[in-house]
Formats: sequence, structure tokens, C-alpha cells
Amino acid sequence: VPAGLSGVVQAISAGDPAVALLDSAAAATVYRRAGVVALRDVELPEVAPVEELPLAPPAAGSRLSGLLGSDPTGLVVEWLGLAVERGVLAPPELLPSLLELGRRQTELRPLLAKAGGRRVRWLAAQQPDWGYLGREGGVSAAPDPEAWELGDLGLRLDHLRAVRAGDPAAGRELLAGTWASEGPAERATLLDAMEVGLSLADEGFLEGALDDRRKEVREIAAELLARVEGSAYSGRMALRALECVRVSADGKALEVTPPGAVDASLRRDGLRGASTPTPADRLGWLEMIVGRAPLRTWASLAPSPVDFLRKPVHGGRPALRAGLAAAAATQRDSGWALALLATSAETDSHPMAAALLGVLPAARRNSWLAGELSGRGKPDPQVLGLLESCPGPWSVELGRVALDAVRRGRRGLGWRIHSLCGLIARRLPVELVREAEEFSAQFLDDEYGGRAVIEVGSMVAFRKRMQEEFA
Amino acid sequence: MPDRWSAEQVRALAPDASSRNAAAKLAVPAPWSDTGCTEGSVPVLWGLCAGSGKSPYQTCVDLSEPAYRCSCPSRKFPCKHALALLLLWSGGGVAEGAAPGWVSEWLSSRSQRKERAEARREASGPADARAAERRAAQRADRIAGGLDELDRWLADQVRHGLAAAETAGYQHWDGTAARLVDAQAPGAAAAVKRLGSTVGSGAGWARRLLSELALLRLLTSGYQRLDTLPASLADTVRSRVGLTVPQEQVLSSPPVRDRWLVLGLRDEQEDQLTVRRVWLRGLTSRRPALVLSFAAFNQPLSADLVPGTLVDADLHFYPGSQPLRALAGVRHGAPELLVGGPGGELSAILASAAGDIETELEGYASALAAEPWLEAWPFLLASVSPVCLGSGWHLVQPDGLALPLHPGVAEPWALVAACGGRPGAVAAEWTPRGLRPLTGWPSSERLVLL
Repeated sequence: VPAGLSGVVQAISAGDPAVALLDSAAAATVYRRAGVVALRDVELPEVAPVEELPLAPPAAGSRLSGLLGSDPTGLVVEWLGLAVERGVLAPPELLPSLLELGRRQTELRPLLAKAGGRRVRWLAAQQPDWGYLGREGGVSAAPDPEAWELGDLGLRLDHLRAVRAGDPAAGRELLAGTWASEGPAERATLLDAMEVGLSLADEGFLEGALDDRRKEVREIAAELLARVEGSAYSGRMALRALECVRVSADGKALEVTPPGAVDASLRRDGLRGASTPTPADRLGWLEMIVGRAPLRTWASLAPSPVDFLRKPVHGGRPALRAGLAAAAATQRDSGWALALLATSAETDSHPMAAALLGVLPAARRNSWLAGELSGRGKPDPQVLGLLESCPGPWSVELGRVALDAVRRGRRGLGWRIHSLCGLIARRLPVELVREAEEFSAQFLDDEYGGRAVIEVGSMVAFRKRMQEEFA
Repeated sequence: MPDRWSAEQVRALAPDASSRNAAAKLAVPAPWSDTGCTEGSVPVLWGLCAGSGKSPYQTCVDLSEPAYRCSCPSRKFPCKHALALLLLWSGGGVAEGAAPGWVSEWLSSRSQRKERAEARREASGPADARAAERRAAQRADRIAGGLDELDRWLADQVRHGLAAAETAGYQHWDGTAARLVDAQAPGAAAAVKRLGSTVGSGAGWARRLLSELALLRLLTSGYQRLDTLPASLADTVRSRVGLTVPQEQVLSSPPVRDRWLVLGLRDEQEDQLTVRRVWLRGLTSRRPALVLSFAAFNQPLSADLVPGTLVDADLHFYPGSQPLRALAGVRHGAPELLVGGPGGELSAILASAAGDIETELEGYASALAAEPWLEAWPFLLASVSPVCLGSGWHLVQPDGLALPLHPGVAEPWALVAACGGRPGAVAAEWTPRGLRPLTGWPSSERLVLL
């Protein structure tokens, strides 16, 4: 019994001991509650670095808080994009919700790393679930030599990438130093980091990795070498490609002859052999060789990509086009990408067209797609589907054309009209708010209407308001 | 024009997330026409909102309480139209103007209703005083019987040892609670029911259970000696047992007028009921106040006291040795939203209304001396930031003094992020197990609801 309570406890009548216990406990409870003292000398939390950028205007900040509440609209990404564009920051109290959202939505991460200011990195470092933010490109984590010595594979990879980002040669030497003692799975994972700061200087090391015992390591090395401009590897692929694709005797057509077998040198360069190759296997080899040969290889066969692509092909046109598309994507060659899109063939796959679209600069992408969709007849559903691969906000021209194409083609679209309208609602430039509202109004009494269709107008108006709140 | 509220404050009025989203979509100029607002005798906001029908909905908000009216068929309250109109206004999208006829009609019908209610209250004075007295005496007898039985039951718990309670299950408590309900002592019944959750509340539960049993014994022994207690303490005992004072009687007690800072609110599920607790602190009187409101499950709660606003109003306190629970009476003007940043009065008001950890603990100790059964008490700490120690999260002052957070609250990441390691004002409920943060003002500038 505390000293201050002894008088009280003594005064409690000594009748039933159980009751006396309760009465004493009541006195002790109140005594203890009233006498609570604070902890002393508690260490203060680490202070977050001061921000350079201002906070988003209050209206924009509270809009974000509304979007995070229960956001079925997917507009958080757009909000963050607007903040980054205007150089303002998200309200700090919303960062935990944004970091939680970023665990599932990876496309949010690079934007959050910027719109979250210095505070978001300070915060993410305190909670392991948010560690992904430290690995976000552009915010590359500082190299941590201790992690390289003692960390798990993930931390070692982070360190290697960070070193490569600052000094590619130092990163290469770091990896070369431990290469012989790494296990096969480690070699494959760590070799991936060489993509950061990849250059011709890495060729010697990567050529060595082509002779690795582990197939995965050989394949990664081959892929990386194919991306190094002027490497001996791409030279070898160019020679092979020219053996497979020749101009016919009359000079008008292309004759395609896939390799008959995978010899030792082809295997070393990343092709997978087969004991009794099928025609499909052979076309697969062709596609890979063409995909890894420099696109300028073809300059000797035709004056321009379009001329090359317009030539009739004997034996394996789809594989040739797929290989060229892969090359255009890895070599980021917009000339070839545009030529491939312009000469599009029935056999082109949707992912292939989407990848080619991704190579084009935004303005070219918008204008090419607008050109394809404009007209009077029914729009090609395949081309409409490519709208998905054109990130927003679209150009005003493409926006107008897309609205018009859906209006014209609505009868043939079936349920796809809903996903298309959802896309339009999110990517239409807000300057077209009036057109969007007219579009929705027109569908109000239309049998092809539906929630998504009718909401295009209000959604674009909502986004316009969201943008204005940043002013 | 009354001060505009922030969009956050408007959103706090929404009864649920779906109304909040619906309102956000409607908070654009397109569907609205003939909107306006005026200060007048009552600050009011109105507009016509185009819906799916032919004639637009008439939406109108009395900003002083706030009270809402909308001609839409929605049973939600406030409906999405009222919320959207408030959002539009909060964003500066509503111009001042003269109230149209339908708005003034609504306002005058409301003030008439109020007058009639007051007249009724005055008229229902000594109606059948003798019968009421007889009923009260019968109830007092029944309660005394119930509490005597509770007293014996409490002693039995101690005699049999608390270890048995761990495996007893909820029936153990619910049976006793049900008998107290029959004895018309719902307050004591609820306290017995809560014992069940104390058992499962983690390390140290036995000590907490003994404390709660002991405080119940303090209540039964207090009720047995009701006649010898000071009048205000007797009132407290009666209310803890569950004898409620009618609202009219509370409202007829002398008012305490002050500018009340709305510290924050917390909703709690109790059986089929949601209880909203709104904590206030008077700027002049420095008195704490608790305004309770109740709603059936999934029904909207009263949203007339908005955290972070200052309300100039008369409060009428329920009688007791430590008056805390109150009803809002007459309001003297619309709620003021405190403006932070340079030139704003927010930091000055927070500085004068808030205390530090020691002064707030002292205030709690004196309150507990008057009202030993206090479960929660409002703290407004001027300068704290959250920090995670080995023993859990705490709020720490720059001088190194710290108080723990209640183990049942979620990790306070929003507050951590908002503070960035720098101290700010935080309003919280203080309970015997720690703090439950309600509202933060990081760097004493912006408002963050927690």
C-alpha cells in the first residue's frame, strides 16, 4: 500500500475481507490514475529535412484526401502527376496512405518519390513495408558498402545499382571482384544491375559471362550485349541476320531463310537449340537474330525502313516483322517503329503494336493514332484498342478523334464501349470538357449508353476542376 | 459572409464514404443553378441542383448549426446535394445574394418549430408531479435491490479469484448485466458488460479487471450512502448508475456561454448504436465539455460540431461533481474556422487554450478527485510529436516528457508524417491506458483529423 493511501485503507471497515479488498483496490486505482507521471528524458524523434518545394494549394490538397478516401476513380496518379509538373508537394499527412497505395500500384511510385518531397523518404525509411520507395529510380538510394558485404541479395542488388548509377566502371569492378565466388542464382540476379549505365566498356565482362555455366546468366549477358551499340555481339548478329534475309534475284522481294540448326556459337550467343527443330523453332531463331541485330544492318538492302517493309517477303514475314519490332523497341528507334506501324499487317500482335507505340515520342504517338482513327467509317477495333497504350492526357486532336470514333463505332463495340469510355474519361485532355459533356448527354437516351458512357462528361469536368485547384 | 469551411471539414459531415464520393462528383458548377449565400440573421447557403427528374432539387443549408434541407428523396442526412453545395461554397464557387422565397420560408418554419418546442417545454412543467414521484420511488427501490445484488456478486468475484474470469466467457458478465438492466440500472449494466472485454485486453488484464471491479464496488457503496453524499456527487453516482436527467431539465439549467474550440470527435460502436463523442474546450472558461450524440447502426450521426472550428454557444451541463457532458443550447453566430499561417489567429488560440503534459495531467487529477469513474478526459497538448519507443508509440514534448498512446489505437502514421519530427498541437482523449489522438495541428498551423 502506497504511503499516501495507508490512512484511507486503515479507515476501510474490516468486515468482509473480499469487500475490504475491493474498497482498498478502488482507493489504490484512483490514487494511481490521478498520480500518473509522464516518462522523462525521452529521446526526440529525428527531424525531417526542410522542403524546398511548396505544398500544393489547400483546395488541391483536400481533393487528394478525398481521392484517397475510397478512390474508385484511379485519379491519384493524375493528381501526383499534376503536382510533379507544377513542382508542389502532397500534404504530408496523406503520405502514409499514398505509401500504402504504392505497395500495390507500382506506377505511382516514381511520382510519389517526387511529389512526396523529402518528407516521404524520411517517412518511408521508418516502415519496412515502404522500403520500395528508397529503390525508386531518380531517387536512387545512396550506396551502402556494408550492405554489399553483409546484406541479403536484395540489399546487395540495391547497392550495386546505386554504385553503377554513380560510376559504372566502379560497379563493374565491384561485381567482377566477387564474380567467381558468387553462386549461380546470385550471378543471375546481380548481373541484371549492369543495365544501369550500360556501355561498350562493359563488353569484355559481359562476353566473359556468355561462357557461364548457368543458362540464365548467359541469356542475361546476351540480352545486355545486344543493347550495347557497336558491340561485337551485335556485329555477329548482324552478319547472321544478313545470311537469313536476302534480296531476291530480281531485287524486288526479300527471301527469308531461318537457320537450320543452332551451332555452338549461336548457343553461346543466347539461342536455345532443339535436337529436331520444327519450322516454328526455326522461325523463333530468326525472330531472335533479327531482334538483336542493329537496325542499320538493313540499310544495305533498302533505302528506308518503309521501302524495306513494303517489299514482298518469301517465307516468314510475321517472324521478320516481330523481330524488327523487338529491335525497334530495344533500340528505341522511332523511325522504324513508325514505319512498322504504318505498314501494319494482319499478323502483327497487339502487344507488338503497343510496344511500337511506346517507342514513339508522345506527340508522334498521339498524331499517328489520331490519323488512324479519324475518318467516316467504322473505326478498326484493333486500333481503338491501341488507345490503351497511349498514356494520357491525350492531345486535343486525339481526344476529339477518339470521342468521334466511339460515337461512330458504338454499335459494333458491345461491352467494350465501357472500358473505352472509362479510358476516355481519364485520358481526355480537360480542354475538351464541353465536348465530353455533349458526348455523354447524347448517350443519355441511347440504348448503347451505360454508366461509364454517361460519366465521361462528369469525370472530365471533375478532372478539370482538379487541375484548376493547382492554380 | 460567414467564414468558409475547408473541404475537409465539409467532408467530415458526410454520413458515409459513398455520400462523400457522390458529393465530390456533384461539387462542380454544371448541375447547379441559382446558388447563393447570405449572412442575414441566420447565415444560409442555397442552390438548385439538376437531378434525373424534371425539376431540380432545392438544397439549402443553415450554416449556424448546421442544418440541412433538400427536396431530394434521399434518406441520408446530410444528402449528397447538401454536401456538394457546401463543397462548392468551400471552394469559393457560391456568390453572395438575397435568399429566394423558398429559403426564407424554410428558415421561418424552422424558427417557428423551435418556438413551439420551447413553449411545450415550458408548459409541461408540473403536469402530474405526484405520479412521477411515485414512479421515481419505485425505480429507486428496484435499483437499490439490483445494486445490492451486484455488491454481493462483486465480492464473490474476488472470493473465487480472478483467474476463473479468464475462461468464463461473455455469459459470465452478460447474465449479471442483464439483471442490472431489469433493475433499471443501465449504466451499471454497461460497466459490467465492459468487464468482459477487460479480460481479453492483453498483459496486465487481471490488474485492470480488479480496478474495474473495485470502481463498481465504489459505485454500489456510493449508491448505498446516497443520502450522505454532497448533492453534486450524488448526481454523479445517479448518472453512473444509469438514472438519466431529461434533456429539458438540462437545457433549463443556467447556460455556460463561451467560445468553444471543437477539439475532435470519436465514434464508437456500442451494441446496435453508434456513439459520437465530441470534445470541446472553452477559450475563456477553459472548461472541458463532451457532447454525445447517438445513431442507430448505419444511420448518420449529428455533424453540427466540426473539429477545428470555434463555436460561440451556450452549453448546458449535466449535473455532477465534475460536469463534463453537455448539451448545446443557443448559438451566437456561425462557427468560425480558425485560419493558420501568418496573420491567422490559430496559433494564438492554440497557445492560450492548450497546456503541456504536466498541466494537463494536473487537470485530469483534479477531475478524477471529483469523479473517480472518469473513463476519458480531453487533453490539448500545445507542443508534442509522436515517437516510437520500445514500449510503443508516445507523444513527446521538446523537454523530453512523454505520454504513451493507448495500446488499442492504430499506429499514428498520419500524425508522424504531418509533424515530420517537429512538435505541434495535438488534441487527444486521455484514458488510464494512454492517449487516443483526435486532431493534430502540425507546426500549429494546419488541421489534420486523425
